[in-house]
Amino acid sequence: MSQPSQAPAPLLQVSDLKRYFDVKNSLLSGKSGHLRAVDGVTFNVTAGETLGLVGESGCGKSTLGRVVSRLLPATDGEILFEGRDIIDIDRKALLALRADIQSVFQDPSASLNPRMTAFNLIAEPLVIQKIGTRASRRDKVLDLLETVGLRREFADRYPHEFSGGQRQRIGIARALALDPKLLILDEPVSALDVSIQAQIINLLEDLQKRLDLTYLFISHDLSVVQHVADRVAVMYMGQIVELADNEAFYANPQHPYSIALLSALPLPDPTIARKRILLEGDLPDPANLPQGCRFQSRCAHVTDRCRVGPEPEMQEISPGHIARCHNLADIHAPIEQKQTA
Amino acid sequence: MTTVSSLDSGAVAPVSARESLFARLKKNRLSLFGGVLVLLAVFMAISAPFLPLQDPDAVDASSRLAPIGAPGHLLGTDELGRDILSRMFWGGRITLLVSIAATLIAMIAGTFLGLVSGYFLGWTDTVISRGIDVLMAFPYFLLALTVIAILGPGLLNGMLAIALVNVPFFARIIRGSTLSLREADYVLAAKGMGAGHSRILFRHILLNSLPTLVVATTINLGFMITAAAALSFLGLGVQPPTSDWGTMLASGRQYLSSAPHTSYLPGLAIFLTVLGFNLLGDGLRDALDPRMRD
Repeated sequence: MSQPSQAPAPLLQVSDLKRYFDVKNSLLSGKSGHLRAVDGVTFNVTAGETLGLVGESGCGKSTLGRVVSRLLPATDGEILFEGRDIIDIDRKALLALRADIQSVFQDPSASLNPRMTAFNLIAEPLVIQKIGTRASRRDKVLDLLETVGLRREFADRYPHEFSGGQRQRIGIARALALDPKLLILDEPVSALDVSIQAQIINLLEDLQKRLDLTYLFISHDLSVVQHVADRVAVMYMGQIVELADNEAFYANPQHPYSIALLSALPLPDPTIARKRILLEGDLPDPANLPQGCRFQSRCAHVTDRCRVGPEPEMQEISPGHIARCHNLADIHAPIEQKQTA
Repeated sequence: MTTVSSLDSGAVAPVSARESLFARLKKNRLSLFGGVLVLLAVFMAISAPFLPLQDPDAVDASSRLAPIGAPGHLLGTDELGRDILSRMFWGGRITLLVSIAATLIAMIAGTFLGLVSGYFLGWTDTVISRGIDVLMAFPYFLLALTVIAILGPGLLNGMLAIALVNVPFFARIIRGSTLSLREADYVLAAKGMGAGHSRILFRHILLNSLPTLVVATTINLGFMITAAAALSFLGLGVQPPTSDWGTMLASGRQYLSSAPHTSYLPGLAIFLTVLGFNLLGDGLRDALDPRMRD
């Protein structure tokens, strides 16, 4: 994908973003706390790039995507889009912002209203934003159908008459209708068959080149992210634990969590063996996080320093490569070993 | 890569939900029978002014309480010598009109309340839901009688009374379906496009609640016919000389031993129509919305 040649201002700047959900711990004690779905996340997305956001389910990556696209309110922190704050804005500005940031959802059969035709689904954002006349909308929708690789004659069909991949194409066409600058792709291929996944990913890459799109690509699939992302952010328990360029991340992961995740990735070459790191231990209760590092219960490199506060801070390993761990210097990452036998 | 990929764009699943609805309904013999009964009742109501029927209110003292098959009166006459066949058609017209109108009123009011309370939640939901609870706390008929006691008896007031009694039925069903649909991804997607509340409520949530609503309305029509007839039976609904199946049943009741047909004919009509709506409603529910089975 396109690499920024000069250093343009970031399209999206997120700093110390927090999103807590209130939870009631117990009916009897009446204690309540916060589930820290997103807990102090900072990152930038440069125009034209794809930032891959990976993490296991429940780590807060989808919540982060929804807060950034203003579908969920932020608890605290700052989001700048094109340098302007988008958290404290009035309704009119929010409506305009909606056109610039669009989302593609995981399950296309759930994100498309089953009682609307493909045409009405794709035209809906244009109708809501009062863009164009009836005739110009019609042209735009039919063009969009072709842009995403569907035939114009499909316009009058309902979602259930399409296959999963075709439905996701409609979802993408709908997201493109408003000519957005940033697309939040929330697991856009996870609900699809592997063969269809490749087609949708190719479509997304093609569209990015043609339409100068910027992607926040949320996924739990490290191989998909390796394929599409320019940079990769790893989330664990509401925090980014490692952020790096694609090549640097996959060749030289730093955080023990990243190392463990990558060790589980199947390699295309069967002659290469590698030591898989099995994560043991339980996930901490997200509503009742332990003192110290959030990864301590599952980390192979845990030391006493990790068990007593404060939490590790982000450290820069090389320019653009940061990780959140106390013991980065001591951790060697044995990712690939040529089989000698 | 090419944008049009043959693998993904060629095949389209040839399923059509619309065709299969009627097919599924047709398989269910009982609901088909219910549909025939409903059509019959609707036909009676619509065709009354066009058929060569006698004047339903023409009194003939010389042929009082004529039996079924009496010359000139196919279904006999009532205690004032009025032709029962004609009164069945004209009375059915009133009964159906009142029930359908009351159902529509209850449906519109209940759907609106259910949508609003299930979508906005918070204090809006608390106020509406507690109001609905208050309506439901009254015994069904007592509430209708209270409304009539306030407004006075009559066709329109009776209709309003039974409509009010049935508002909770619709409000609760639609609130439940709204509660689940408001979390749907397509509602989230609509919000992401900048859709306002009314668009989300009506284009997304209501549109997807329609199967539930159709089923609820059909089943409710059965209740409504019984309720309308019961009010008239008590003399609180339609007032003389106009009469519906309920008033016919009430006046015939005094001659139960000497001329039973004067009461069992309208009674049978009520029974078969309600049965028809219930069977049709059950069939529609199975075909459209199996979740509503309780």
